[in-house]
Amino acid sequence: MQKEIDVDIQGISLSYGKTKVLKEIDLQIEQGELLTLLGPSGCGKSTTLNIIAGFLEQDAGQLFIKGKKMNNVPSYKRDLGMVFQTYSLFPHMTVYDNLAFGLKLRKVGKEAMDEKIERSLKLVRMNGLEDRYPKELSGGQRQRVAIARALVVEPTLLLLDEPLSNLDAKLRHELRTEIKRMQNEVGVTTVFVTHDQDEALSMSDRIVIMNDGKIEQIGTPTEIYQNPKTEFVFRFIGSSTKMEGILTEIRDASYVVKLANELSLEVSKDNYLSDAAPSINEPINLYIRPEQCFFLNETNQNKLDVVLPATVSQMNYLGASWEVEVQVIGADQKISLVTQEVNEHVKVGSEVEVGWKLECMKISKSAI
Amino acid sequence: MHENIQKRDISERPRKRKLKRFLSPALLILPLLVFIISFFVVPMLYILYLSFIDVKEGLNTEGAVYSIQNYVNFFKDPYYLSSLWLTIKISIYTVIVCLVLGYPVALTMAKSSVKVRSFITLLVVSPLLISVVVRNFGWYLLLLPNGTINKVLMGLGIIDSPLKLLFSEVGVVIGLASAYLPFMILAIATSLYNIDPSLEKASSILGASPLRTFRTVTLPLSFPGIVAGTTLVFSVSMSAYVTPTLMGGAAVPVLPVVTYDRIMVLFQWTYGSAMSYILLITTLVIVFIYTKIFEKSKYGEVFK
Ligand SMILES: Nc1ncnc2c1ncn2[C@@H]1O[C@H](COP(=O)(O)OP(=O)(O)OP(=O)(O)O)[C@@H](O)[C@H]1O
Ligand SMILES: [Mg+2]
Repeated sequence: MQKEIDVDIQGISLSYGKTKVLKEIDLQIEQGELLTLLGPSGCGKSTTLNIIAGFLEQDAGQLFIKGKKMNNVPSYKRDLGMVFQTYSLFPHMTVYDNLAFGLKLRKVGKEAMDEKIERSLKLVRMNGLEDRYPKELSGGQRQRVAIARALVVEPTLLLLDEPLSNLDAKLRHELRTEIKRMQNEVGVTTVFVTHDQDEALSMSDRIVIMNDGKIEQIGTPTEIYQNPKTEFVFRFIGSSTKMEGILTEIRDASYVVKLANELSLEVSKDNYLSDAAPSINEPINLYIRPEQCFFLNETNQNKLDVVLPATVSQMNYLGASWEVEVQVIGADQKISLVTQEVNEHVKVGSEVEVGWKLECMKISKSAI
Repeated sequence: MHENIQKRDISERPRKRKLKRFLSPALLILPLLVFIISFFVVPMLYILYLSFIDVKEGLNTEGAVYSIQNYVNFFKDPYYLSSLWLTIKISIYTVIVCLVLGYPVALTMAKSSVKVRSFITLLVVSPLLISVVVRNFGWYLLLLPNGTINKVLMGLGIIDSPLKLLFSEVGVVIGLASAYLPFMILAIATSLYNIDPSLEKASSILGASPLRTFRTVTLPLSFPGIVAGTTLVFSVSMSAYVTPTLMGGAAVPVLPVVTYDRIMVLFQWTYGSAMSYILLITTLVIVFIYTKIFEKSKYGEVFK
């Protein structure tokens, strides 16, 4: 069944003076989904959100919300809900009055208002604190109230601009789950801006990866993580070890790349991330994710395509796992791997064999 | 026994530390303290002392009788009471004019870029660089019966005969308001700068029009600035001497002017002292009640 489109962004561009901040963004947001805008600082996430909210006007392109064209519609007529990074609760109003603010503007009667406010506060687990002033709340509580204030007016769209970035790690994790739960319960279409990839991967129905004013890829968290379409997406999400090589042969469905230590690897064309095809003798980057590298043992030795002898150079204990860095013997190449268990022979300085499957490798044209 | 000694050791150390912490800032404000005590507190106490002495003339306090006669006389005399009321009235007008003219300027400053803002700040404070007397003579020339303003108004046919702008309450209010407007603007602007801009965005996205946002968010949050600006302008207007003398003359006998005459012309030092204290106490009481009303209102939270 085709889902309804709540927000339709068509070729939106915006410049500040000569700098193009958004370059022809196209994006369709489906009804009821939680969509995350993810990207490095300054890539235009907040700008996109502010255009949807009506705080900025695009230079070119169209914006439709619920099928209605939004050009020249001021933010106070768009019927949206928004949660800001700095909570932005009205300091001179109690929690109750903060929530009542939008309801009064919508001419909701006293009884209905009380009921709506109670329901919203219950949703964010803040009932009983109606008479407090924002100053008398903790950061996490303030953000909960801010979410309740945005939701109580039953907006067509909920916008959140890095709502968790002012909170400590534990609270951030807790509220992340809560937002997901609330969004599910209410079913409101939500646009969430973050530069924290864990947040994006764990919460989103779909993720939009942005870079330098352009959309790099749109997809579900698993698609984004497992099938990155561009080198930028691959490198931005998760971590990876980079190796350098030269393209020596182009086959029907694969490229053959020779590494600095004379090792030749054949990688499928499906795993090639750049747009333009490479030519022979061109420098090529190869990537492998740490969790796809393994220490060689009896059970996996037949499954790994590439095996290299190496020395352990660093070990970091992360609680649930180990992060190990090894130095490939005979080459100036370090490889990171993440593993649940290490046997007692693995210590800094000990010789090991590490390996991975060729299908896990990604390759791209070297930029230089 | 042993316990006692330990306890004392523990309790003494923080006390020393406290003393140290207190002493260093105390040293820093010492020059100011000396200045205030010798040039403000001591003369004020002396004037207070004088105000309770009942002599007709001069500073001769020998064989003086202590009484509250000076104060009683003041409140029995309708001339002085009306002078006090005139002073309060003119100060309130000045505050209102400053507020009405100053708020839009402060709002503009808060909404503009840093560059424009510093330019406006410079414009706003520039009159303060000119002496009060010079400024007042400027107004004097403008407000004369055949001065620029009357000429323009008559030329445009708006009025038939010249308005009495000089030597009237209007003239004094114009003079005072123009002198104290910068204080009002800066006080309000400062509190507007402190408002998180995302609050206005939050209000807008919740459905409030710009006007509604101003009324329910921006204005209440600028109350601290309004209160600071209005009390400041009110207090200095209550005690203003130069402007009422030049712009009002005998037609506008505000209390500071009358007091000055009492002391410097009639040499009634003790009566003049009592008048000064009545002016001071009146100002303090009005300011106190005014701020309390604001703090007790439903917007009291913004003052915390
Ligand atoms: N008022 C402005 N004037 C000029 N340039 C601006 C202005 N506001 C934003 N920019 C530029 O626009 C670009 C995008 O800004 P935006 O706030 O959308 O980034 P962002 O993706 O939200 O980043 P962050 O994660 O740091 O919040 C940035 O390069 C920024 O420098
Ligand atoms: Mg941002």
